[in-house]
Amino acid sequence: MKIFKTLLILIFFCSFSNILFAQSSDTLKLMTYNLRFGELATLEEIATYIKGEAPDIVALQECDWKTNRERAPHQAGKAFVNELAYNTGLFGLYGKAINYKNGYYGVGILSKYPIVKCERVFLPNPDPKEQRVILIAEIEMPDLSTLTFICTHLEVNSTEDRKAQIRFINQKVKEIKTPVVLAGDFNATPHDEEIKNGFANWTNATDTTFTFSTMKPEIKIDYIYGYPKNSMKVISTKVDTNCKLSDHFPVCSKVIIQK
Amino acid sequence: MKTLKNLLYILFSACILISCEDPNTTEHNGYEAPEPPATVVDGNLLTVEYYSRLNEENLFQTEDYNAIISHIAATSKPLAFFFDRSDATIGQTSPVVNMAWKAKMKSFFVQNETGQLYIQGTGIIVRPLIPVFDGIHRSDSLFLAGCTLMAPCNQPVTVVLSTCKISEIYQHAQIAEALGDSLKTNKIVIGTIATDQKESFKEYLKYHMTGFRLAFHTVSDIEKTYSLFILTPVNFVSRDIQELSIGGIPMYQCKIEYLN
Repeated sequence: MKIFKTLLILIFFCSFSNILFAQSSDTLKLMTYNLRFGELATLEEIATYIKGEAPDIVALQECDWKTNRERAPHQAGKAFVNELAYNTGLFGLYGKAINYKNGYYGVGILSKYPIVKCERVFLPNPDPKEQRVILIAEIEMPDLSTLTFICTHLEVNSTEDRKAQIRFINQKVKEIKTPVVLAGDFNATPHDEEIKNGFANWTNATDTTFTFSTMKPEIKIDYIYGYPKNSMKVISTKVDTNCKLSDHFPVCSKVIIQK
Repeated sequence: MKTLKNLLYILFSACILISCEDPNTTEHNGYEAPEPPATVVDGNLLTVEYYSRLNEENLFQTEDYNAIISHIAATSKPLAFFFDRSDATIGQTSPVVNMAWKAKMKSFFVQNETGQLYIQGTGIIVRPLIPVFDGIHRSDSLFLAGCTLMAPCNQPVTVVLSTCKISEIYQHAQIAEALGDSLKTNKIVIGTIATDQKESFKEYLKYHMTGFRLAFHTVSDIEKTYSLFILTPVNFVSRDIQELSIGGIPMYQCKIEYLN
């Protein structure tokens, strides 16, 4: 009888560990981080931070490509995504938004997994201001399923332009057949209409902790969202308020993508 | 009226006869590309460097690509550099990311075969920033991807330089199906194919695609189990493939002409 009991406990334990293992292997760690063109840290420091967090996919905003900025002379001529990919051991993608100071300024994606395809798409700019973009990457996951990861940095000054950009993104994701993650700096708070209404059909994978600025945190403008709404289960989320390598805090969320 | 009736009767009979014809008796010789012009226009040649050992070995043993980085930095002619079997390990800097970092250029990676930690694939390095990297993904059986680039011919021409690896017969149909009419948009596929499949691939495409040219380059060496193939739309032609070696790594310099 005792042996039978022990056997039962063992079977129960094995089943439970299988469940645990299955969950951990399906969990993705996603990060979004606005780098403020590397003004406040070296790319090696940023890479060391990212590597330490061990994310699967990272959305990067305010990334330079071989510029010469007066405000960040230590980054002169550096291709941010190349440097970060090299120093983190991840694959890197770059999406140029504008020409700037003899180089380019835009967004980037780092991925632990290989990229099947990617595209940089211009966002609407109805009342012409700084051109904004989305960088769309279809990523092949270890189980051979694909996930579409989108990185963006939305308009800062005009609510109407931001609304148009969010409408565009919502139209765009309807064409995508895989689960979608959208991450980035949206330049709007959770109370703003464009966030409340614009992402009604998405799952928010972040909390309300302020993400900007690191000197005086008083607003949340960085997000990670999943589409369609039922495609993502949020396990945990964290705004790392100890990390001051930029004027934004990095945001990390652990999620399970429901296939 | 009677003449009209007779005419209709004849037409109706002819239609029945045609529709009853045995489809097997129709001869279908497959697609043959027209002969390219004999004269080569040098200004319309685009150069691609394809690094490959043409077998199942990893291209790089250690970080033995410094000579290639110096070569890339010193040459401006090639439109793109392909590195067959420059495999990646998840979470570690892959050779192509490392080379792009050192050469200050842009890198892409096309997986050929995926694993949990180790991915076989082909790295691509290009000079300009490109807005689109387009890939076709058929579960774990076919990966075909590449970049849209502006080729500096006599008149600038937009081309999509893609790559894939063909190891299995069933991939022939997948490639034909996946490419569809996309070759018309100046898509060029440069990759490797198991040498013993060259003829069957050629035959398959002949009967399942049109508007293309297919060229092979085989090295007579028993250890080279793969050949290079260049699949272009009919308005391009592979003119020359030169065997070179950079820092001990075999390289095939491919010259493809745009026939405008």
